[in-house]
Amino acid sequence: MNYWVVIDRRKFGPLTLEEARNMPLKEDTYVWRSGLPAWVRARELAELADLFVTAAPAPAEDAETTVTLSETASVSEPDVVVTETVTDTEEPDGRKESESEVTVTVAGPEKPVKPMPVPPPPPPAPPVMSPYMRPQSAIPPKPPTYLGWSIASILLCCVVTGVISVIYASKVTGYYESGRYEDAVKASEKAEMWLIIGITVGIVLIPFEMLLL
Amino acid sequence: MKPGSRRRLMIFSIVAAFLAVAILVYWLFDPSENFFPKCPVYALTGIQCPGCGAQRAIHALLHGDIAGAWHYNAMLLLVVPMLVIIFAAEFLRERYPRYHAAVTSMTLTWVLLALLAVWMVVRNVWGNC
Repeated sequence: MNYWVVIDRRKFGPLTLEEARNMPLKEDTYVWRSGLPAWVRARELAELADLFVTAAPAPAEDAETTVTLSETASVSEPDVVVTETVTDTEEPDGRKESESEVTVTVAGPEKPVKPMPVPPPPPPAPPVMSPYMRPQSAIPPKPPTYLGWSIASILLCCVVTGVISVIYASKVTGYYESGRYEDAVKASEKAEMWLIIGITVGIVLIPFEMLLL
Repeated sequence: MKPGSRRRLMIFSIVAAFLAVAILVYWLFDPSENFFPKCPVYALTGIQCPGCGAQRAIHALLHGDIAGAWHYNAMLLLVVPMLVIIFAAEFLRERYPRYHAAVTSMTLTWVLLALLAVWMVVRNVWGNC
């Protein structure tokens, strides 16, 4: 049986079960083997799940025997391999053609005498896009809003220009969220401009302000 | 080094130097006593803007006098932690765009502005500092 794994958004395969087990797998690593309709997490695959359980004395159930058997499969005792084939047949998702593959490959994982006669179907595209990875190329980064500077300038020197800057800061956000990226950049520049005007005027006025009572 | 990062480094060092000097000055001298600039708006109209008392509040804050800072400008005390969060978001804008978007959201911007406006009204109507 051939295995594919996805690590760091790269696809590795075809691998034997032993090679797959030696990959740096995590519980949620995507794995696919011939016969499966879609990619599954590594912990969902019986022959890999034991990698993530530290001490798991398997209860005597059909699904669990596969785990125990595959543990011994790395030792590759022929008797056990036969049993595993049987267990695979009992599984509902085991298919006819994959059964024969099991017998061929698992019977001699360390002896690459027999190459795979039938190339496995190409695995479906792995669902690795998490919602946190949005396409960076499509959306430009949000321009600076200068919100912090604007609020600080309201409190520290220049109320009027500070308020104007805050209004432009909100415009940056508004334009950006409605997809008008160029307008957002322009609003960002306006916010910066009013900040600089305010700070400059504030500094110029300091000597005069010192004379006030 | 990219030109953008050089510009950022320049701005950052200028601001840091300015901040260091300002902190030293406001720590050493009490703004209520000597040579510090007075607010022209207050001197001309008698209206206290949101920032009035900020210098005295900073002086008090630098000496660990939280109650004094609260007395001179309560909003400053409330806004300072907010500013830390906003500035962090602005500086880490490219690395953490989602954090930046959350902090500089439309709602939060207007809430801040409304807060300052309400504060200005409140302190002029009921305030005594």
